[in-house]
Amino acid sequence: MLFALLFIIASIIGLIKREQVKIVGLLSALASLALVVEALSGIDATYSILGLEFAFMTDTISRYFCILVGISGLAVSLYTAEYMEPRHLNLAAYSVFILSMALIVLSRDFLEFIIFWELMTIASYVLIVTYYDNTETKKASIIYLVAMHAFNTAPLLLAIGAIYSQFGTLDYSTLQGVYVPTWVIWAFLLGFISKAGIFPVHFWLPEAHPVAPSNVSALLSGTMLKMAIYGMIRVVELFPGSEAIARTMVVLAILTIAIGAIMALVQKDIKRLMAYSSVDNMGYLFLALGAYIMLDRVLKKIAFLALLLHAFNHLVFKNLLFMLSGNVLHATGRKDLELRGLGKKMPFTAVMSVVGILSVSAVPPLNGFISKWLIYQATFLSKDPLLVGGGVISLFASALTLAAYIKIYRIFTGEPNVEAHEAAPLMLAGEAILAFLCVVAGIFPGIIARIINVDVGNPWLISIGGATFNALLFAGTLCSFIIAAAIALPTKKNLDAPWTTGEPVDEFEQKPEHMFTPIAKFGKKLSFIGERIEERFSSFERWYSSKDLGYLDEIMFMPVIKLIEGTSYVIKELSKNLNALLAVTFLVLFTIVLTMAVLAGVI
Amino acid sequence: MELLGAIVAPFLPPLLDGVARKVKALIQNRMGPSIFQTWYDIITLLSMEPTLPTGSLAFRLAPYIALASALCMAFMLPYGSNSIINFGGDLIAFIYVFTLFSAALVFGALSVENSYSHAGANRELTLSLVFKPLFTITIGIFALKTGSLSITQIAHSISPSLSIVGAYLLLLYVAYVEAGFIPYDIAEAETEILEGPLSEYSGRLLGLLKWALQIKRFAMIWLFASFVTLPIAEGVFAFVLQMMVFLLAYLLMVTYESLNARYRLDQAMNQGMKGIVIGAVLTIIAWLGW
Repeated sequence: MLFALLFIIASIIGLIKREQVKIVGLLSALASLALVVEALSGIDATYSILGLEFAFMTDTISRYFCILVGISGLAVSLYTAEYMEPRHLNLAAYSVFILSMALIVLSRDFLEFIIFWELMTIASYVLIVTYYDNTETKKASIIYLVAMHAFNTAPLLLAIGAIYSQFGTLDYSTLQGVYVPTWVIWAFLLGFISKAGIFPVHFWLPEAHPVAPSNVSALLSGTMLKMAIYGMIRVVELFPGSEAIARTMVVLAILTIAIGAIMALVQKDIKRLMAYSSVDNMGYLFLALGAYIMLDRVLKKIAFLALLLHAFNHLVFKNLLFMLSGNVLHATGRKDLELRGLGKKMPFTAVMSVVGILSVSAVPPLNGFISKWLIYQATFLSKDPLLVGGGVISLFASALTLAAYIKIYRIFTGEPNVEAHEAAPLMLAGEAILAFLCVVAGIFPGIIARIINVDVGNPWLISIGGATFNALLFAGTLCSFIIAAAIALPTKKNLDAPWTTGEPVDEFEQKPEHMFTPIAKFGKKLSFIGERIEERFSSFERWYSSKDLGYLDEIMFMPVIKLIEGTSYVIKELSKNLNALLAVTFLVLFTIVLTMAVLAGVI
Repeated sequence: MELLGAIVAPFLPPLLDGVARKVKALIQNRMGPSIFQTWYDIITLLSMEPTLPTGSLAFRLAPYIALASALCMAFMLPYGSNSIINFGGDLIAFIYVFTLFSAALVFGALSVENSYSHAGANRELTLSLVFKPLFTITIGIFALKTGSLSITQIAHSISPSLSIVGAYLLLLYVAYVEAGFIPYDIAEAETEILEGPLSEYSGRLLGLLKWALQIKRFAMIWLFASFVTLPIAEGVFAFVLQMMVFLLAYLLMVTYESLNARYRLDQAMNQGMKGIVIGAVLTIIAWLGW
């Protein structure tokens, strides 16, 4: 477990020398690379710390998620080495964060799972409050901490506690296939959907992700949310009886997809837009998981492959997109959509943004298309109206995603209205790794499928359930058309100014908030409803604290306190007369002895 | 047989556009240009050097990507019984290559500082937000009834029923809208926004874009024609029948186009929403088995 050692060294360095961002970042990158390499060859280690046995082992799913954590850790750590501003404990927390995520997927029983889960939550909280002097951050971090513990850790602890009290063990291999009460699976569902940001409990995500520094946002949005999916897959694989939650999961996922995509469309802040887009993509993952539970035979395999491939794809392009928004923030100090003309000074960022935007909109031949294609196959061919509805909503959300991200593309075009500079090479290197993976996973998706041991025929294509998608051939056909047309009909660079019929462009420029008006009205209505609900809650809170009830414990303990106060007053008065005091004392002693005799059953 | 499609798809659509202009002219009681006029226009444009209003690579690359994706769309369709690019689930890939086409157009339009281009890009995306789901619902009905998502497989296994007839009508409507005929050519509106995304393009790039738009129009209506004819015919006879149904549908659409004015964006969206509701009802009917 070399990677664990390297992460621990990195966090110790971060703890002792709070300013050494580069060293910690590079060490974390090295450790993530070690994680990928070790996971590919399998990990099997047991440690005994403080009398507790910690066993770490990879099976198919945990190996896959280890590789995912490793890839994102590598890219984001390279980025962090140049980007992150060290403040309080966040440097130490950074390595601990990635380490805890890796250990979550490697753990072999629920005890380790919950320990490292809580460690991950605390580490992410420390990272989110990096800019603690900002009011927005304070509010967002409180929402994050409370929501996570109330809706995530509490149900998980309840469920795990119930399992322990019923079976006396928390080990995965012993618990394989046992029947747990249905409410335990519901508790697990609640815990994991709140971590993933699914509909009723998604409110913390758009608050927490924008206020964190961009490298942390990338890890939160890209990797931490996948831990929830991993946990849910684990629970579904271990315990039979998950059909009970499948329909609810699919319904919530569909609502999440719709809400996330529509809300992403009306945002004015780049990172908030991407946070809502993450909510939307988590909806896809839970839709695929629900389809996996509900379907069988070939479609089940397709849904499973769709789930895991989409986890990989979303990780890659969401990390990329958040890191690119970090580039913009670092260069200009702004993250709103009013920016223009950044493409001139930041060409690499612009090109990688186009790759990221096309990936998230699932345009072939990039990687987002493959997983979405598999989700559509699983849902449309299922003959279940709920799943078919899910497929339709997915396509709607896909179109909405393209529309929302076009607003982000707009910041790179036109005339610059801020000073900008290209990002540092290490930052670009981290992003380039992920952009490269976007393209490669789009053209050779079979390689990813091989890691999860899903049989897709030839490793160069995806051939599953009678449907073969030869992504390489497809991409090759597209490229050959483009190249043929470009060679037959080339264009010389013949520059001139745009002709806008002589009107000044800035007067008639289309502002991002005016784009897609007919659909954006829905989004505004949704956010209006959300605001009303929040207002109701906060008005209830104001009413409650306005009552002179004071503290709850005051109400409970007041009578007893008043009794003791009264008794001490009486004794004080009595002490002024010694005889009376002696008489009262004798009476009290006699009463006590009598009471104890009665209680002991003597009389 | 399907290799005939490699000749038909790139070279027939501009000729059809010429026919459309002739029909429109005859309805409007004038002579109109010759049938080959659109071809002459495109060839002239392709021979001219473009003037680039911006050095952006996206602007220069967009027409090539648009042409490539339109050709891909056309090659995924059956000519006769089979198609050139054929794989399971290719109906979804068809939709997404269409998305690539729109994305290329929009990226190119947003790369240049012209409010008309931006307005056109905005309209293009807003329309696709409503009409792509409608297309998906139609596909959902076909997938529910035939159990497949492959264009050729669906085309061969459609059997008539109430929901399938409704799905055909919806598909006709979607093909009409996505082909960009007059009530719905809001994105490339000539008179309102100076052709929208196309306004800053000139010369060779403009020729490529116009050609790509014609091929896209052809692909959408050919999809409809395939779904109508292939259940009942095979081989060469199927191809001839496809061509006839296609020409009939095209002429009807052109006639309808000549008699109409352009919708506003919100009017078109309302029509699309109504279509979605009808589609949802049809999906429920299909699921119930009719």
